[in-house]
Amino acid sequence: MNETNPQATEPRTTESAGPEKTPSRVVHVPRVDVAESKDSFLVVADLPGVSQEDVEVTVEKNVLTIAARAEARVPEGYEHRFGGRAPVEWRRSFTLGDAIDREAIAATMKNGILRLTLPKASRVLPRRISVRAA
Amino acid sequence: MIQGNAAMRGWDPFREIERMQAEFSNLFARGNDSYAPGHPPVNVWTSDDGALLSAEVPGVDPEKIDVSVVGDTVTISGSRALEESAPGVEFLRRERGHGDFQRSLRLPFKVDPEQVEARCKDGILWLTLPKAREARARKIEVLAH
Repeated sequence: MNETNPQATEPRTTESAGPEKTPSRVVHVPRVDVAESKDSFLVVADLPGVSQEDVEVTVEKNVLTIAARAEARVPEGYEHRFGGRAPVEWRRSFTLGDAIDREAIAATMKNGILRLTLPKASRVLPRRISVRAA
Repeated sequence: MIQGNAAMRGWDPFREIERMQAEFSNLFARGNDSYAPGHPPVNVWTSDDGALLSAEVPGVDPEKIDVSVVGDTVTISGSRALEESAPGVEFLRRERGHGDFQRSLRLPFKVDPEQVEARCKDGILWLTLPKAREARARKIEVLAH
């Protein structure tokens, strides 16, 4: 499993000459742990402030994408005094190998952490095609 | 004529000891903690009545978070478990931090420790920190004679 080029990195403003670009929105890349066992892959992603309804995991062709949105934290009647802007939106994509059973991918969300289990397909064993004489 | 070694003259044993002490205390302060000093990230909002604090603690068991309030200082501490590696499991990536964390913040007023509320939702710790009574503004009516 490889990471695809995530376009959603933090915005850079000093990359090229000319006017600096204002991103329409700031998308963060969640930190992940990725583990592999004999029969599955495990992806654990930090998504603080994201509830189960606000995370979307999609598989399109061979790309798995995690997209999440947290509720903006702006308490009413209060004035912000300290801290940076908390991330509100996240996105990260991974390229799946052929060994993963796409139908069996499972996801759970707890305490702001997404856990994805990606089982390996049982039919990834190499197939031998016998050559018959014509 | 007595002339010390130039290299020796530049060497201050006291400074060296201080440096070593600083390094050691750094070492122990970090412990097995892989977090940078600014962890967990916090945000603070204030109003006339008190403050709201949010801390990002994804994956931390809410029961393993300690909050203490002394005067105007709030301290959050806890620990985040390392994603466990079972036999036959190989980690290909480990970006998520783990270990103990502690962060103290001084607010611009004294807090009423009895009224502090803490709740955890989706990996965010929220603290409601009302001002202590003596820190609240008192309105004194001016009487006309």
